[in-house]
Amino acid sequence: MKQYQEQYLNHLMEISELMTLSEQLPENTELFFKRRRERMARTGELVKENTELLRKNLLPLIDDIISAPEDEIKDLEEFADRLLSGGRQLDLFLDYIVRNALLTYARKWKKRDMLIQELYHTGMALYYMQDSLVEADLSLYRWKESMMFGEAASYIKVYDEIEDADTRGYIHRSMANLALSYAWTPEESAVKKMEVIRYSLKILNDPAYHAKTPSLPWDVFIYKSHQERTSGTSYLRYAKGSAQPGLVREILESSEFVWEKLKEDSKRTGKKVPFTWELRYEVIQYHCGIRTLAYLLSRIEKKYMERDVFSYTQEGIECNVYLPAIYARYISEDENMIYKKREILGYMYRMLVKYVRSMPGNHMDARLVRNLMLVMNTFIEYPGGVTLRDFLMELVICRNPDIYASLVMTAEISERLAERTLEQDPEALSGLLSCEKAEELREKKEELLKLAFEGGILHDVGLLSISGLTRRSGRSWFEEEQRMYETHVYAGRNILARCESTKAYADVAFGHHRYYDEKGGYPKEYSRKESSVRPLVDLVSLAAFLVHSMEATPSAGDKGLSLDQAVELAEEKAGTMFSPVFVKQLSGMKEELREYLKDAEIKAYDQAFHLLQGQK
Amino acid sequence: MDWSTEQIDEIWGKVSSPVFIFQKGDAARQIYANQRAAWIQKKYGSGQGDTGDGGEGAVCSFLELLRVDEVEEVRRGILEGSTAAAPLFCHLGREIYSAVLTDWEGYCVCMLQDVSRYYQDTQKALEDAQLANQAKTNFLSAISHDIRTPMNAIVGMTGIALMQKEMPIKIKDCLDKIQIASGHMMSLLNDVLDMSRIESGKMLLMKTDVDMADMLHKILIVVKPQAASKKLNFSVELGKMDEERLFVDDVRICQICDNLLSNAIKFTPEGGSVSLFFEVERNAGEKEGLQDQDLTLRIRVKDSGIGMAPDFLPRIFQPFERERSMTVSRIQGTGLGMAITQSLVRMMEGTISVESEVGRGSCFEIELPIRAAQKDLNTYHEVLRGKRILIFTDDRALGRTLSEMLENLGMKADWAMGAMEAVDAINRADFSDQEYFAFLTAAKVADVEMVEFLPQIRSRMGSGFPILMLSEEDWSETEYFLTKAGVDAFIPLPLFLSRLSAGLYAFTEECRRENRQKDTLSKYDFSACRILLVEDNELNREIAQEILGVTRASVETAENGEKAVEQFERSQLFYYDMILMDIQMPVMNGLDATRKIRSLDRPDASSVPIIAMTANAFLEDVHDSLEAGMNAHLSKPLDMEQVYDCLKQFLGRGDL
Repeated sequence: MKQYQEQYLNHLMEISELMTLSEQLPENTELFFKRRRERMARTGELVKENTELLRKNLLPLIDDIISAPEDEIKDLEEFADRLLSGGRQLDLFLDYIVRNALLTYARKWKKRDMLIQELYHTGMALYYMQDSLVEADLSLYRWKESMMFGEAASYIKVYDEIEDADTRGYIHRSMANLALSYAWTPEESAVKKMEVIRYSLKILNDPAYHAKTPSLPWDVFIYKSHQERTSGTSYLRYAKGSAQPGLVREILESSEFVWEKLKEDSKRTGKKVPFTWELRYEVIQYHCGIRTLAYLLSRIEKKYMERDVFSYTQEGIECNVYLPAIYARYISEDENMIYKKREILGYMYRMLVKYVRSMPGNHMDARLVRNLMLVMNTFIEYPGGVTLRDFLMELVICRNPDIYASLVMTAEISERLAERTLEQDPEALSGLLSCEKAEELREKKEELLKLAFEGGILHDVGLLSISGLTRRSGRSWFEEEQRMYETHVYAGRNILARCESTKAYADVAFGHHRYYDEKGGYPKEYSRKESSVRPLVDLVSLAAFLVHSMEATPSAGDKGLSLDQAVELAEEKAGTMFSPVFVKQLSGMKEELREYLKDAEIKAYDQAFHLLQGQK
Repeated sequence: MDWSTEQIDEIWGKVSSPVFIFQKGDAARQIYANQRAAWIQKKYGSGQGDTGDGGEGAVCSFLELLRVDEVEEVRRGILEGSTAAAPLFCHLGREIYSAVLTDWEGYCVCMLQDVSRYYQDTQKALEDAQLANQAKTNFLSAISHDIRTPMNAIVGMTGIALMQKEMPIKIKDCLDKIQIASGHMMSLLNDVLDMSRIESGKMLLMKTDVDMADMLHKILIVVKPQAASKKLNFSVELGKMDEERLFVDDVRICQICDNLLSNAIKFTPEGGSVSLFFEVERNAGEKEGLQDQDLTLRIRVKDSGIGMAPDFLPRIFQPFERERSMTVSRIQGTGLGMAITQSLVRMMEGTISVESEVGRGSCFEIELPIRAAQKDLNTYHEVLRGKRILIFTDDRALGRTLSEMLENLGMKADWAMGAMEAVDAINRADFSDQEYFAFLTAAKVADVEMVEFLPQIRSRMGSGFPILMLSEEDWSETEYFLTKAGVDAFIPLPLFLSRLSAGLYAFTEECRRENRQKDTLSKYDFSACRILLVEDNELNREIAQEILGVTRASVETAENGEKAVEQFERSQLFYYDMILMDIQMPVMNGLDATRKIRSLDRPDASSVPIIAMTANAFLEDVHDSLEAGMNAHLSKPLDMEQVYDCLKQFLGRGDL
């Protein structure tokens, strides 16, 4: 690799460390805060250096990739491999750009083996990018993924002409991975996915191919394809008992295949079959009509009761967090079960809260966050029980103290803004809490302020779905990253729209980046006119803008704009980006905010650490 | 009751005016004439029979005195027993009598009155009026024509003035208003001129062989922007298209459509809808296998506008008639449009009808008898038969029509409604070795950005694979971006079989062979242009020079930004037509060089197009280059077509 490539990767590693909190929570928030600013400043420097490294070295090379010498291409391939090495995804989007350039090179010079391999790698980069969009429920990259894997797989036609065994392997892997580009829902997509897996398995099981390339790991390929087919539980759940019998049979067949293999491995190694696979096997048995829902639930209950409540290992987290998530998902299959099992699920949630609050050491554990997101996805609210709102505010968002601090400040400024508006121009809040007149609004002051606060704290909950993008960015963004970032409003809306306690804030999450005059910002689907909570969206958008423009980020360096600058900017954008009514109120409360901002950020971090330590 | 001649004479004989009495019936028979009447019969008649007693021998002799056209009218009056709405005039020698017919006891009494003087006076007044009208028509025709000529200059010069850059706002505002007002005046003059031509019989129909698709395209180019500017939902629907090549006066048909559509747009409030329906149907005889080429062209214009009151409808086609609501709402117009439309329809021997309801809208329907053009047998079908096409549209109606048309051409079509489905079809085709001949895409598909999707199709399928886009928009605005994205050609909507087959045929090997034979000349010619190429990398400079060389443009080079600024400064005004600028260069980079050039105090410093040459730029780089004053950026490595497109876009010429 070239020196600048090594240097770039080293910077990325350093940024990754700087942006990750140490395992132990800080005892002194002020000191932490001071260090955070130092870390941000250092990160900012590295980001600038990295951007320059790319601008000076990599981009000119990519600009003229066609005339690049072969050794440069080799280095570039290695560099791209390292950008995604070991699933760390040091720089997914740069990897995607480099892969595209390598594709151009391979096409131009008709380097078939290289083309096939790069098509596969580009497909994989797209797969990871698409994977970040689960919460947002968008399919921005699926067709591209299919295009890459599909083209690489189509070289099966000239299989015999290709001599390199690795390249042949990439053809098979691409053909198998083509299935990844299809979602399990709707049914039409599931049918295609199964068709692709079937076709791939047919070739993978064909002895003629084994004979042609005996060095390939055929068993692994076949096993992985069956494994992918067992993820068809999503389709079975979606089809609700009316799944196509042929597909059900195939999923069942694959689950038996995988199950047998896991048992064999277990026998050979003496290790237990991972319980998540055991659970998946049970789930398929239920969906295929072999077991009843009651049986499946009793199996989950049993496993749950056998858990170690003090274990924070992978299995410990799965038993304490993942199982309640799966339990909620399956009781929601049947209305009666939602009622019948309310006590059990309520208990699971209470225990979950306790478990998370008692977690020692690494409070930001990525596995924990991933499993908490699953709980969030399947959350069921019961009267008097844990609400999704509290779950998000107190357990989930604080796992990312940077996001949490920013949200708390937005919430507090929103609340103050709402209070001032209620005094000065109450009718600007008309429509909220079904109140139209000033007196009605004033009568519900407490509720209104709570609404503004919670709207502020929950508005960016969608960022959790792309936290990798926001936390690990080690250079200036490309357009594609901005596009990915913009998906957080869809994710936020989807998360909040699920439950009663949060659905009032779904529009806030969805519309807070859309301009007041609807001529700019995103998403275009948000219609301010049609929103029943538009004053709340307007108010939170302004508060969020204020906080973001003042905060320290890698791009802003150790500090952002001053309060005066930020307010001035908001005033310039009154009537276009922001509601002029709220900007007017904001201008009038500068002194109050100046006082508040003196220690607001430290306090917000303090609050996050308190929550992480299990204190409320 | 039967009366004797004596009894009749007792009553009518004393009347001083001439009186004839007729027996009613299929053959009107005169049974009596009083003395005065008998005298007239004797004076002007052949003198046959005894007219004095009014007996049977005098039957019809009065009628025989009349001119042929008068006989029929009087005979009809006798049958009905009364005079029609207009007076009946009878020419007898030099005198002119008016005949009053009245029913009396089962007979018809015809009483004459000498109106010679009155008639002559009236006739003179009519002739005078006709002459005056003719004079008016001639005058209007002459004056319209004479005013039009200087008006053309006013409209044209205003347009040129508006194209000037950096114009003071007030002047631009005044020019905009002049443009609007002169536009109104031109349209008024055109209407007056047409009406006077029609009245004076000088308007003749010029029938030629016309392609229906071209004709519709001409109409839509004018009408669509008008509808869009009023935010109307404008739609075009095609009915049967039994023939696409017609023998008609397309200019006048376009005029009819323009009149109806511009009225519909004018009288439909914002957010409403206007639709145009076109149909060419073969008449029944033709369908039964007769060799006749008779067709009916049916045009329907429907709107959801303000509509018209029932009492106005009968007057709608009269010149200068405007409904009160139109004048009240100050909607501009001469009131001639509908009169011209009706006159044109009549000239074409067609019919026009209207239905309207106040507040609900109006619907005009026109039927014109037309003929098909000479059969233009093409070989497209033969060449295209059996080829596979991938249709890409989420518009079900368009997808269905396309599938049917392609089937009619003997082609095989697969239809994808989304990006994923399209890629899926390509993958399947690849696995099964059944390659597609072309990709036929709508301009928009909801689930994907075309500028992102099409380059991927292009990479996958290779540069020789035709990608054709169906578009109802005027694509000149988006052509640059879309061709850059991979589109090879556009096919206009609404869709015609002739256009579709010609569009596809253009990409067949047969057509390419024909073109190679025909066209050995270079595609572009920018020989009159001078380009400054600023690039530090020698190899890149050579490649760019080579590409630009084919355009015949003269290319001068500079190896860094500083030298470029010096060269530009030293050059005569407007010496360079374009600057292609690399961004990263030693000594002075492209951004600084652009800023320097833009800040120079010379008129061409702000106008010369400066194009950045970059590749994967960061967001802020693209922003910086525009901020520095560059007009666009070309991706490196430079692609021949892309460079040509850029030259075409900014230098606006070059196609041979």
